[in-house]
Formats: sequence, C-alpha cells, structure tokens
Amino acid sequence: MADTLRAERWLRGIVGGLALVGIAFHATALIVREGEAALVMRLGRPLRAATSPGLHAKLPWPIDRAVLLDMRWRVYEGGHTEMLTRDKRNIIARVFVIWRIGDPLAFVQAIGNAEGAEGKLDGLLTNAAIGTLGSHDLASLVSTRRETLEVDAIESELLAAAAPLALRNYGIEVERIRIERISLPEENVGAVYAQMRAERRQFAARYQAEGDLEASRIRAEADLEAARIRAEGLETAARLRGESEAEATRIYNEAQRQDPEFYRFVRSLESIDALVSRNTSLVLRTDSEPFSLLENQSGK
Amino acid sequence: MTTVLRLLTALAVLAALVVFGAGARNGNRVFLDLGVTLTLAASVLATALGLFRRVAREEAPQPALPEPSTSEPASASELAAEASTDPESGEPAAVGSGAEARPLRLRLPRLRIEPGSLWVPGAAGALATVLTFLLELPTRIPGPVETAVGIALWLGAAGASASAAIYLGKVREVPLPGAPALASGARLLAWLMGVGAVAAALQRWPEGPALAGVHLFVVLINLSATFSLLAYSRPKVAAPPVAPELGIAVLLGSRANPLASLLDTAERQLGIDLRSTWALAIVRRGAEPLVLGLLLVGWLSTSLTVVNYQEQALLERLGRAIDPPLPPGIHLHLPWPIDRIHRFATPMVASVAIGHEEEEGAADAEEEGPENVLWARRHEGQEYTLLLGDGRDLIAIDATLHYRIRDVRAWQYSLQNPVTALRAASYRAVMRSTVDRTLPQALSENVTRLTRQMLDMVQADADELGLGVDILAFTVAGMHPPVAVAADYQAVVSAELGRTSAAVEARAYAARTVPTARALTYVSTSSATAQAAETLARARGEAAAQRLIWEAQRQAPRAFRFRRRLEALEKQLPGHPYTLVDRRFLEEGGELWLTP
Repeated sequence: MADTLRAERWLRGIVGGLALVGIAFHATALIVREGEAALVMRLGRPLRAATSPGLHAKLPWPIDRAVLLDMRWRVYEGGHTEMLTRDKRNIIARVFVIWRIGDPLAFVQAIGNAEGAEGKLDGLLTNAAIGTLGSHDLASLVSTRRETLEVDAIESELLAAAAPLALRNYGIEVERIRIERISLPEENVGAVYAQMRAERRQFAARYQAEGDLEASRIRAEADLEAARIRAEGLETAARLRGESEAEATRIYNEAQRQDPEFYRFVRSLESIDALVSRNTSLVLRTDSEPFSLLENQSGK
Repeated sequence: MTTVLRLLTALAVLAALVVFGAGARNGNRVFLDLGVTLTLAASVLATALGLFRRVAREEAPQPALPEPSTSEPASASELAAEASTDPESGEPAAVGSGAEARPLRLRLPRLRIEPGSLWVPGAAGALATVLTFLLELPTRIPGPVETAVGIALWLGAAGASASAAIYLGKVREVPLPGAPALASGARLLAWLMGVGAVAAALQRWPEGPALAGVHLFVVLINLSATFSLLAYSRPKVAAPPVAPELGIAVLLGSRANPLASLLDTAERQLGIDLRSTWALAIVRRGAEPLVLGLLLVGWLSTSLTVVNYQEQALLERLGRAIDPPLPPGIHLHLPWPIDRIHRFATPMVASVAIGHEEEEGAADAEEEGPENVLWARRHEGQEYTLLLGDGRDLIAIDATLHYRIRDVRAWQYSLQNPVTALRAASYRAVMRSTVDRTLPQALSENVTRLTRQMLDMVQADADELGLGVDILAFTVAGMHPPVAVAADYQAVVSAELGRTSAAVEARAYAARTVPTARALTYVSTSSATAQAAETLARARGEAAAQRLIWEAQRQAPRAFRFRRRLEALEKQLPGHPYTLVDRRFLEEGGELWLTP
C-alpha cells in the first residue's frame, strides 16, 4: 500500500513536472522553423528578428511577444487586368509575382500577414502592368515575327517599376514578375470571333468553289471525250457501210457488165419473186408461156 | 435572501442572453443548449423568488385591525393572537408587536408549488431544446483571442455558479426552504458552465465529433430537466420546498463531485454503498495513475513515426530540418514538440490542370468514363484563351502538368506555395509557346515537339526557383479555336473534304461516261462492220452465183430462160387468182373490166 502510494506520488510528480516544464518551455522558448523568422517585441517595442532556424529564448507573454513570419518565397497570381497598349489595342493581361518578406519589421508594421501583402502587391502590379504595357505596342507581346517580341524586357521593366516600391513601402522583396497570360477582353471577343468566323467561311467558300470548278472541268472533259468517241464511232461506222456499199456496187456492176441482158433477166425474176404477193392482181396474156398452149396452132 | 435570489435570477437571465447571442453568432449549438439551461435555471430561481417573497410576507408580523363600534374593543394582544393564529392548526403563530414579547417561532409556509405552474418553463424548455437540433446556423470559427476570452468567461460563470452552490449549500432549510435543491441545481450548472468552456475550445473544430458529443450531452440534461418540470407533482414530504427538486440536479449536483453525487443517489435508491465495493475501490485508486500513465505514454508515442511506402518524411528538430529525409519504415526520434514530422507523397505523380479544370457536378460527370474534349462542345465553365501572334486570333488550350517531388527539403522550404508556382510557370510556358504563332501554325504544330518545349520551360523555371521537382510530362489534351468559332473551323475542314469529294465524284462521272461512249461507239462500229461484211458477202455471193448461172446457161440460154420463166409462174400462180386475157383482145382493141 505504501509502495503503491509512493509510486502514485512519483507518477504525479513526473507528469506534473513535465507539465510544468512544458508550460515553461512554451512560455519562454521560441522555435523558429526553417524558412521562418520571428520578430520579437518586448512590451510593444521591436527587439530583434530571429532568422536562423532553431531554438531561441524569450521572456513570457505579455512581456515578450513573438510574431512568426514565413520568409519563404511565395507566388502570387494577380487578377486579369484590362489595359491599352501603345497602339491602342485592348488586351487582358495576367501577371504573377514571386515575392518574400524582405524587411520583417517594415512588413509587420505595414501589413502584418501574407493576405494583406498580396492585396497591396495586387495594386502595385496592376499599376506597373498598366504603365509598362501601355508603353509598348501589341507586337511586343504577341507577334509572328520573333524579332519584335520583347516579353523579357517588359518583364524586367515591370520588376523595376514595382520592386523598389514594394520593398520601401511594405518590406516586400520582389524577385521577379512574369507575364502569365495575354488575351482579349470579353467585349472584344465577340468581334474577334466574328472576324475568325468570316475568315473561316471565306476559306470554306473558296474550297467549295475550287471543288465545284474542278468537278465541272472533269465532267466537261469527260463529256467532250465521250462525244468525240461517239463521233469517231459514227464516222467509222458510216465509212464502213459506205465502203461495203461501194464494193458491193462494184461487184454488182462487174457481174452485170459481163452480160447485161442476162443480169436483167435474172434480176427481174428475183424481183418478181419478192414483189408478187397474195394481194397482187395478175393479168396474163394468152400468148405468154405456158398459156400460149391454149391458143390453137394457127394462132387463133 | 430575497436579494440573493434576485441577483441569481438576474445573473441567470443575463448569462442566458449572452450565451444565446454567442451561440447564434458562432453557430455553436452547445451554447444554445446552455442558454436553454440557464433559462430553465432562471425560471426555477424566479419561481423560488416569488414563493419566497410570499413566504417572507406571511411570516412578517401583521398590524392589528380596529374592531367595529358595535363590539367591545379587543385587547391588542388578543387581536395579535387572533391575527396570528393558524386557522388550520389553531396554534398561535408568531407574535409581532404586542404587550408581551414572545419568542419568534417561524412557521413553515403553507404555500406550495402547484404542479401546473411549472408547465410553462418546462414546455418552453423542451421546445427550445428541439429547436437547437433543427436550426441551421452558419458556423464561424473564432480567433484564438476570442476563444480564450470565451473560455475565461465560461470558467468565470462556472466559478460563480460554484460559489452560489456553496452559499446555497450552507443556507439552512428554515430561512430558505428548498435551498438544498437550489444548491444541487447550482452545482450542476457550474459543471455545465465548465462544459461550455470545453465547447468554446472545440468551436475551432465545428464539424468534429467532440462538439457533437458535447451537444448531445447537454441536450440530454436539458430534456431531463424539462421533463422533471413538466412532470413535477406535489412532493410527499411534510415540508414542501420552495424550489422544485429536479431529478438531474439531484443526480449530478447533490455533491460537488458529480461522481460522488451519482454514488449517493445510487445508495439512496438502491440502498447499496457502491464506494465500498471492491471493484469500484480498485477503479478509484487506479483511475488517476492510469490517466497519468496514458498521458505520458501518449506523449512518448509521438517519438515513433511510421512513414508509408508512398511517402517521405522530413524531420524538424526545434525548427531545423534534419537530413536526410526519412524513408518508408518506422523511425524513432524525440517526442513532440521537439521533433516534428512533415510527410510528403514523393513517389506519387501529382498533376496540375492548365486551362481546364474538371468541375464537380458538371454534366460530363454524369457520364462514366473519361471526359470528352470536343472542339465544338463547351467542356469547362470558362475557356482559357490566349492571344496568338497575329494579335487577332484566339486559341483555347487544355493541358496537364505531371510532376514528382524529387527533393522534399527543397519542396518544403523553397516556396510557400510550390504548386501555385508550378501552375504559374506552366501558364507562362503555354503563353510563350503561342505568342509567336498564328492559329493555323499552332493547330498544325507538331504536338510532341511543342509539349517538349513547354516541359523544358517549366523544368527550367522550377529549377531556377529551387522547387526540387522533376517535370515528368506536359500533356496537351486540347488545343483548338474557341468553342464559339470551332464549328466554323470544322466547316473549313469539311469544305476541304468537300472539294476533294467533288473532284472524286466528277472523276467517277468521267470514269462512267467515257467508257460508255467508247462502248456505244464500239457497238456502232461493230454493227457497221458486220453490216458492211454482210453487204459485201451478199454482193459477192450474188455475183458469184450469177456468174455461175450465166456460164451454165450459155450452152442453152433460151431453154434456161423458158424454164426460169415457167418456174416463176409455177411458184407464184398456185392458189393465186389471176386473169388471163386473150391477146387478140389487146391487139384488136377493147376494154377489159376487172373486178375484184
């Protein structure tokens, strides 16, 4: 029983001691993580900035108060801003900035947190973008001629316009500013689409016309060829018929020349054969053969 | 005593109003429940105050009333005695001013709490408790300072309730009947104010199960109290109390320690002192070291970390990163808060969508399978368009960047938002790859080469920022004209195809027409050739036959002619009517009439 009580007391002592150590540690220790810095203020007066990672000491609250700051670089994507280029072209541009806290004390005094910083940066960026892009033609940003593009130079100008102000006014160090997107405003997009559609329809109409033209040519050539072939055929057929007729005539003439009288006789008989039909009325004389036998010998 | 009760009632009402307001502001249902509890407490206190004041008036000495003129004036003492006589018992009551000073004897009040008088607070409390379940309140997470102030106020209220409980616990039954019941209620209220402090701390996790559990606990207590109020009947004791004895208050608040109160109630109801049981004694002795031991072991358990196979972990010791990162497996290190662990899914390939983000609940989400990216069908809420090199045309791009963390230390400490940096770099790469191209060039570009170019740009930017990532792929899911004009672009392709189709059809026509003409020509020439051959053959045949016949008949031409003539007549005349005319008729003249 006594041992149990002693053990309980030891356990209570250990846990209680650890709790006290923990409370004291929490009150007086300042752990600065990598990528962080701590601004220690004593009774409201800035005392020091602890920038190296590790354990640092401070007095308990409310004597010392530590403000932890994330010192790592941060990317902020600004909003889409509409602006006018030097050649009066409306565009929408979006930039992003890589920044971090450059002066912790100035930052805390001017802003206090990352959200507030980005709100201030947004204004700076917008101002710098409108001013810088407004002093360049659209061809500096977008162009099929690469030699006219000046995107890198424009970004450097943006940085030069915004970085000093950011550091001086807000304790923000801007490492770089980049253009992320260039597009057209919604109000202009409709007109652009109409132009794109008109161009496309022009191409479509041209292709269609070319197709129709080619088709017509091919059809016409085919019809011509067919007519030519038919004409040649007709000529050949007529020539063949003519040649055969001529040859047949020559043959008949040759046969007839041999004995015209005989030819006439035989040919006449053939004609009678062909011409006399059931409907033909025949009138014969009694002095034609064989009906001459019907006459007496004296011819009466 | 009246003042105390008034003060307690006023404090309860004020606390209820503040708690209701805080609950409505933060959307904390536990606060609303405790507001109901405080309102019930205020109603009980108000009931007790009203009854106590009536009791106090009854106990105060009454002035003597003048007798009517028709009767002899009674003595003051007689009047006083009569006025202070209990009409029920007939016993003399306390004697006020009079000729003789008699010892003050307090009389127990005759007034009792009528059962129906507590229905109103009971019903209202039940309704309010149900409403805390049904109300939809916007939750708000208070800041750390507000939370600390809230916890302090709750603890202050708990202290005030505990003080009231201690005070009421020391008040005897005689000056304040019902003081024990009020003390029980105050003790229970003190514990509930402590629960309020817990709820204020848990407000930072409004959706967590802990806050829901606390809410349920307080609701059960409220329901029990309202049930007691609704079901309150005249107690069976001779001295009815001023304040109602609520079952839950007696159960948990009869002593300062709720557990002891429970055991007391169990002993009263069951007649068994559970404290003396062996098991409970063991539990009581072992509870404290057990809890302490668990706390210690729990804290020491933060020294063990298991890193999964899909992870790497970064160990921070008092803020400094310790190299190398912890690989998958179990690791032993110093406990929290000396060592902290940050986990990273390094082997996994992560993706960043460029220009196109799948929307939840979108129409395509209803269809199974991968999303369709069609030019002429809108496949995202807002198209991502870029201005092209001609300063006139727009192009829409949907792409995805795939990357893997190579160096967890760089990934953790180089930038606050490395994913945002990758996304911005990707958008920039897409922009840089299109600003010097026209739409046809962009659409006809070799996609493999283009995506390789974008990948290299993003990798270069990532390396410059020291992100510690490997860009694995930059896939372009779609690069096309804006949806609004996509149909016209497709029409151009259709027109090109139509151009080819028209020529093909014309060639087909030609392929039909010319051979047909050739075939017809062949037929006609063949027919002519056949006809010519026939003509020639007939002519030759006839000529040859004629020659042969001529040569044959030369030997007897007259006979040949005679024979042929007769043969012709023999062939034609049979069956054929004919007319034979005497030659003398024709030679000598005459007319011959032939009728058919």
